[in-house]
Amino acid sequence: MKKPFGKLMIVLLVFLFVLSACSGNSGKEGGASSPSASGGAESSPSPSQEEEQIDPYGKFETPVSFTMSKPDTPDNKLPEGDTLENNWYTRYIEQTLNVKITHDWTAQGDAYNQKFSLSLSSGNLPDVMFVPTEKDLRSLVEANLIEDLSDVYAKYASPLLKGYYESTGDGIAFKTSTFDGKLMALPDLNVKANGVQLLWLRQDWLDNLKLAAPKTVDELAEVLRAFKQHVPDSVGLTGDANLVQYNQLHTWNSLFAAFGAYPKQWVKDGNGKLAYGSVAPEMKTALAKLRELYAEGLIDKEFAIHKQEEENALIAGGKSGAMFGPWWIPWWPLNDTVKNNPKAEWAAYAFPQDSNGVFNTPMPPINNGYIVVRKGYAHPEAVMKVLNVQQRAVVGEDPVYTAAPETQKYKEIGASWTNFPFNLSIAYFNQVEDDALLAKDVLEGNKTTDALKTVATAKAWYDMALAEKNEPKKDTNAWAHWVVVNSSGPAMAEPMNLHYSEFYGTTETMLTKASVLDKLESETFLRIILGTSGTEEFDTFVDKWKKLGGDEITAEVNAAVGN
Amino acid sequence: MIAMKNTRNTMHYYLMLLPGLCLITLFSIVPMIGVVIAFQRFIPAKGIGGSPWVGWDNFTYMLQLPDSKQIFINTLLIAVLKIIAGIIVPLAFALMLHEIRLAFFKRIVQTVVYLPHFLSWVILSGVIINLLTLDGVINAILSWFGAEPVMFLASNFWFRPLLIISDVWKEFGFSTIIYLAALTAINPVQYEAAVIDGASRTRLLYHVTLPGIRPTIVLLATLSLGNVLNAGFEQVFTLYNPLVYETADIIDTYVYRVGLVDRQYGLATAIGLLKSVIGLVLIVISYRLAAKFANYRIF
Repeated sequence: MKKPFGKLMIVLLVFLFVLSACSGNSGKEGGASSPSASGGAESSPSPSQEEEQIDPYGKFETPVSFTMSKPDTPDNKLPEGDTLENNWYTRYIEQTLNVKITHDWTAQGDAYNQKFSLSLSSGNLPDVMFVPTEKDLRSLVEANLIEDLSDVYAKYASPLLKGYYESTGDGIAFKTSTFDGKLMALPDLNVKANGVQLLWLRQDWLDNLKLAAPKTVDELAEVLRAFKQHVPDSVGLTGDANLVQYNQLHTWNSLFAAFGAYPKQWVKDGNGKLAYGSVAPEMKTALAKLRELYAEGLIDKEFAIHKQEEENALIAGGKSGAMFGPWWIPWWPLNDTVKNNPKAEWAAYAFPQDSNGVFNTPMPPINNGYIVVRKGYAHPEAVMKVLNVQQRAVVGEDPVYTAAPETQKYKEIGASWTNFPFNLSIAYFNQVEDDALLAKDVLEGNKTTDALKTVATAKAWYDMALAEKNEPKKDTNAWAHWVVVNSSGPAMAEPMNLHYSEFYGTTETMLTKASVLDKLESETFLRIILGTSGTEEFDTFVDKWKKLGGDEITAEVNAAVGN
Repeated sequence: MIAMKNTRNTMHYYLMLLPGLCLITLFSIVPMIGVVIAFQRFIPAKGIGGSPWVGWDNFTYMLQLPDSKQIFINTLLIAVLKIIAGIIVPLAFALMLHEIRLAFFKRIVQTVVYLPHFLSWVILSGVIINLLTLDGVINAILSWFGAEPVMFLASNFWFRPLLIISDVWKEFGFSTIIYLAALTAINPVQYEAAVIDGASRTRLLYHVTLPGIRPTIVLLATLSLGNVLNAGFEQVFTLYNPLVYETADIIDTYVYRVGLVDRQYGLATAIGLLKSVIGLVLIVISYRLAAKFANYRIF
């Protein structure tokens, strides 16, 4: 009941944008690769020149094959006679590269993960594997069962694919798949927009009060105070009983992070060991401040009781002018505010900053799956090439593939892209904000509409935003685009510290103790904020947490990352 | 011959029973195989056949959990209070309604109080949350008397009474109808005789009405014993929040969090199994009691 239909729609919508947008953005990176692709598909480099000119999409002269383990696609829609193993996508790979892939075994969802762990212990591994978790990857590396892919990646990865992986900067894309400087797996890649949590404020209220956007938590408190005077029946900042959650509304991820507190994440302590963010001393400071704000009435008095729908109703009814949330909320629930009151305006900010003037935001895991190659398999470059061809086709940079009648047919029946050999969804990391910035530039006349030609999403956003500019508040969908293009998109492009947890997995003790510990944690934190317990209750909580299994879990987590 | 004839005559009854029996077998009896998960460290991919057996581990662990005692107490307290209130309120209401001579008015009241029974807790909880918010109706009324607004749903003092009151409000119409039916079964001659003997209204109540429906009261009371561990999952789940775990967390909500959220299937099944075993014992006891006091027999 936490996920109403509207929410689901938004998520689907966003996903659609990301997928359709892939085609556009890759244009920036992929230009160089396209000519070689169309022209050089037939020619194979002569051995003597191999070092100089490797064609990442080049066909093998003799057939190459590998076996693999692959997650099954639920409710798979394929034409009569086609299978997960043999369909247009795999046939296209085969005809382009002369690489034949057979499935050692497949399984769906959770069952895949379980079966995969099992197959590790049996030692009977296929040539190529989809690895579902970081934990499994780590155990494969430790058991020395998989191939180092650093050289293969450097030599054979297409510029297009490299462009995607490098879009994160700082090698973040490979953070979890690199061990001792060696790239052991090819990961998938989530967009940055999945994690960044922004501060949303009623811009019309700010303007009426002639206030600037609050940079720090103290300034935020002042703004909330002013809002309360401005609209006497308003309730202040909205909240959610789940204090932190990724890509959710009303939670306070970025607010805690402004104190250097990262609840529910694993952070490095002073000695390089990992510690649980919820029991760090910064958390106490953050809770004390929230308690102060709550007591003053600057936070919704009933945030702990309200379900998400009730908090949304406050936003929609103009009873609250401040919330934390991801970039896409203008589509829902902020659009309801405008429906109810056409004068309403929302704006997003990459605030509040910490004491060093940095905006921190906790991030979900950037990789959710990996492709690895069994140690001793003769053609790891074939794996790399398959991914090159797959990615080029998926993002629409492959004219031969796009023009093929089968591609059209598959599109019509709605065949999932997961029928490609590798279940790696590799998104352009800055997709959303880049699209928004481009649309904004054109909107403001800094660029001509020519710039939008190859970028489908930005074009669509520009069109909608333009409609809003011409006829303000006529259509809330257009308004939502306008806000994303002008406010939340650019806000995400601001410099910020993306805070990744050092460990996203689950340990043995977590399985049995997590329910007790989570209960203790949420009870304590809410009580401190609501003032039913004193701030000193935090210290009791930390002691209890450690005794009830927290110490064990911490030791296990440190062991898991090799500390 | 007689037996044969009987079977032939009653054949169509058995046939009518068949679909129901099939459904019960398919959805209630067959899934019972799953209780063996309580003695396993269940891993979905390996299934029941492949998961390792752990004996009584899940049960000992359950008893060691710091929350177990609290959850058990909460469940028992909430359920027992609901049962008691669920007997007294409809009985009193039925007696009052019985005294009303205006059949038209009686019918309307009867239907209106019966209505909430058909609404799901998801909807009713929304209504209750709205009634009880800080600027809701209840707090507005309290403020007329100068009281400070109360956050009922976040208060460990108020939460249990709230569960009981709202549950009674939802369900009492249903039991009221049963009592009203029992009341119509009392022979009017008894009333006439008593009135001729000079009995007052209260005396009529004590000496004719109550003895007349005594079997029904005993029956409903004893049968509800089987619900002593059912504190009402939907209601609690849609109303509670972490602040009132202390007074509101019941076996079912705990099993939900452990089993479905944390995916400890073994432990969750163990808790559920223990609850079912206690429930079975209570149902047997209540059946015996019902047979003894109200002459209620199924077999």
